[in-house]
Amino acid sequence: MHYRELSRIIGNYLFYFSIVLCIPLILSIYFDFFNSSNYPKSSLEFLETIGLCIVIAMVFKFFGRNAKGVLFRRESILLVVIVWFISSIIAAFPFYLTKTLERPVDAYFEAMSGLTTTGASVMYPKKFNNQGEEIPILVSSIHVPDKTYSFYGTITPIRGPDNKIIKEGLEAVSRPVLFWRSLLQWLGGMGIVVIFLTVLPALGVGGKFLYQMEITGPVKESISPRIKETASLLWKLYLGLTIFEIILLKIVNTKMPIYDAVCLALSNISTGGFSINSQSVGFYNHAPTEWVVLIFMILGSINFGLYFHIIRLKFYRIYSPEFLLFTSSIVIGILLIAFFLSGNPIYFFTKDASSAHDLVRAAAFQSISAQTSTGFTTANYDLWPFPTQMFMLILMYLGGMAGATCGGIKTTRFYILYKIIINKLEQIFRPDRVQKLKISKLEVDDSTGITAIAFFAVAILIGVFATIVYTLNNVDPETSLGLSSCMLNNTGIAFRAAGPTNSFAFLSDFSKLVSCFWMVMGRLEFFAILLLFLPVFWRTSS
Amino acid sequence: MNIVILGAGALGAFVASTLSKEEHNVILIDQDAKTLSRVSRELDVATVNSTGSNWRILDDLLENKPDYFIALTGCDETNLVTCNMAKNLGFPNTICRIKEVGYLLRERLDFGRLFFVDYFIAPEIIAANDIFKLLLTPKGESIESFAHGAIQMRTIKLPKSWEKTNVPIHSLGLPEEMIIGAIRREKEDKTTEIIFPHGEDRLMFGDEITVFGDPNTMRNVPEYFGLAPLYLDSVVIAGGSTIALHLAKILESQDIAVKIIEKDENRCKRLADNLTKSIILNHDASEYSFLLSENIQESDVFISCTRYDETNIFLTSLGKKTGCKKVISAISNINLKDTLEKIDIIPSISEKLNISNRILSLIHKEKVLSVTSLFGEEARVIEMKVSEDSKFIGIPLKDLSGKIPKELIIAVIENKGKVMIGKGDRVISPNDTVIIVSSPKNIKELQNIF
Repeated sequence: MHYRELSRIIGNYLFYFSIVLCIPLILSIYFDFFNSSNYPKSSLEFLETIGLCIVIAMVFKFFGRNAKGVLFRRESILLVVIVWFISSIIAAFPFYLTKTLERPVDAYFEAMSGLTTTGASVMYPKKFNNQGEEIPILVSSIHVPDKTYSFYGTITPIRGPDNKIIKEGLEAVSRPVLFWRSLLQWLGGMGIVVIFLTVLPALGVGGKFLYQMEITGPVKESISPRIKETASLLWKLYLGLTIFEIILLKIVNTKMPIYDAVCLALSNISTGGFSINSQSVGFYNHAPTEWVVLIFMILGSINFGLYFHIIRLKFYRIYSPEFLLFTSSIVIGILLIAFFLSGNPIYFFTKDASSAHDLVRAAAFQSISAQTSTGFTTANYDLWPFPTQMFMLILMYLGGMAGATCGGIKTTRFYILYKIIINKLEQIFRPDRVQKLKISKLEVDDSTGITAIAFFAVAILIGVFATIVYTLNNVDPETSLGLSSCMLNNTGIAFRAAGPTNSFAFLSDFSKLVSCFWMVMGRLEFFAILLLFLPVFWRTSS
Repeated sequence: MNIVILGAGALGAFVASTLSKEEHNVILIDQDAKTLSRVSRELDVATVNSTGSNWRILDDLLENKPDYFIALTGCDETNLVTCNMAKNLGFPNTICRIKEVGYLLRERLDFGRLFFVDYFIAPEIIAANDIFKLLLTPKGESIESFAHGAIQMRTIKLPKSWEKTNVPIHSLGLPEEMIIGAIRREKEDKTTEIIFPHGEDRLMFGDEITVFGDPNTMRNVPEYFGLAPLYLDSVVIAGGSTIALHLAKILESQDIAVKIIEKDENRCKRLADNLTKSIILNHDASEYSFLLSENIQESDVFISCTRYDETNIFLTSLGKKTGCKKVISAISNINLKDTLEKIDIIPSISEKLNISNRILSLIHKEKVLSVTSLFGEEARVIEMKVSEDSKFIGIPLKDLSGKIPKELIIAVIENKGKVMIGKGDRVISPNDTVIIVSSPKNIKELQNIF
């Protein structure tokens, strides 16, 4: 293992990461000094984080000062994993230093949840009794009545001069910190390494491999011959889509503050799902806003390569079977959930409604939110009929298209699996048939096919394993199942105790840490993390 | 720059890696998906799995606004036809790799115009000429080849027996297609001067002169100036590659005995078809006893030019062990050069390096294609392209005197594959390649002149 090389590149990377940290710093300076609001101050804490980041960067640079600049496959894999863990640790500091989240585990969970675009939050208002002492919160789901979780809230409320609570929960969190949360999702959506590929000095083929590690899906097509250019094109497109959404949100909902629009867009296009309100997108109770959010959840789950076909005016290339599979899965998902939901109350957060439009609106929003792994909510789906919840769970595993920001197993893989199964079945009665596996015109070789099957097996296996781990850690099985699919698919919504009205604060420290691990595993699509456990990976000789 | 390369074989992959390291956008086309996936794992290039003759793919690639189309497959015909299609579809420049020297000679057909090829590169021919150069140099003469071997340059020292010291050069009766490019004269006070001769100059004994001409005329140079002919009787080549074939052809034309040892029987038959005088041996050259039985130690030079560096080094080491005085190995990895020189094996740049250097200079739109030093650093031989806005286009060379620096001679003009000696009534056309002998101080000015 060439540790010096790794060290040098990580050092470089962290310098750029500290530049990214300047964005929330600027915002915090504005909120602290130029805005007369009573949110907790945060500029000093962001400054401290930047300082810390630079110091760590210098340490890495120091150890990598003699590096020669070669990056092999093994180092590339390790580099990506290290970058993800180290970024999440540094990203956690603003949460911890500002005392938004007082416990390091909570801060780390929040940062990891952000970077992996999961959007699962531990932010939950603290509860006090009449004497002003903090008391534990008791949560039990109506579906699992015999299990009650007792835990303490995490967010200190903002009190007025008379010690009365003015704001609590997410509303009491310092604005720049919430912005940082959304920005993390935006960075992690396309891939933190991919963004830095555009600025990091040439890594040669190593860079190409880094790109392939972070871009999701079984078949990675590059948009431009050289990886540096591909990365920069992707980010330009990503930024463009984000700005487009901000403008669109402001147009359809003129009452929405620009700060809300920016944060919402950052979490939306990255299919992250962090919200700046306790009631998520349901807070706005505004149908056009929801439709815009819904469209951008889908846009974030479409293979970004397709947009370049649109930009180059090659519309006919969009009609790939994969794209059709994705769109039809979305339509079928909406129809199924709407069908099973019809005739039942919708449980919107902010109002009660049951018109046909509201039914489709809620069903579409929740099914797409689950499938695209975004995790925004507008209604308390935990009270919906069981079939709708089951379909949401399946949609979480289904995921969006390859080469997008969403999680899940991805429709592309299902398409390959489907083709393989059909081929195998036909081979039973017609063993001499020679067939080639193709996705539209691109040939899928045997090894890609086997990789897709292996991925499917690994995803299911780890899903089962993660559920068992949660259950053994005193979480009820129904919540465990929701949790494991929420974490592994980077969805951010779960059921029962972790349902839409609750947070993930009830989890034990062990469960939170193990969740962080599942999240990064799901984001990097399992293999990169799993192979670190192979002894041969570390052996330098033999 | 956006470059499309057809063929991901040894040459294609090598050129692609050189270009992508220079931060060019390379798209590599090949029909073998396995080769492509291996190449794309190792290089930062995009790959397209298709045959070269699939014009739809070429048409699609146009959307990347490519600057060059380079056909590098091992099949001349595929390269020519694909270049033709590419150019007609809208690729601005085409470069075609060929193996057959016939496409370079434009006696009856101008293949460049016929197949819309802007630049022909025959890497094997260049490599064969490089080896040929090495065969002769240490014997007191230096030889360089230009224009795929169509022009040869030799430097010789006039012997004491040279008598025509009073005859001006134009009356010497030199062959038509031969020109003297430079004279290095040692004066009485031991200082040397470089003369760029113009018709009226004279040759003295003891002068070192540089002569340009086509290889056939050049064969008689030593004879003409009263020197002993080249001392080179027999050469053994291990490996019947295309380089070996071209090298053997050059050597045959110089009446040097050639033996080629090649493992593959079919290849041997092909070589025997093409080479009438050479001895083709169908045997494994790595067998030591066979080398001894063929009296390798008796031959003047042992050359290994298979496609693989490892094999070449291995074979030349064996050749060295038999006691052969001079061994030459073709290499494509430039890092090996010093190591080989240390163990007394003469390295020669392989076709891979040759072609990538050539393509790089084409892509950089360098006017200067190659520079060779003469007499140490006292004069330079420069191969350069004439731009379209050069001031000297269409003016006979004899009328140029006074307009170009004095210490400069236009030795050779290559016009679309036709090679001419720079005699007084010849004219320069745009996009010609000229070979110039000049004093080093003129080099900057040259860029502006042509």
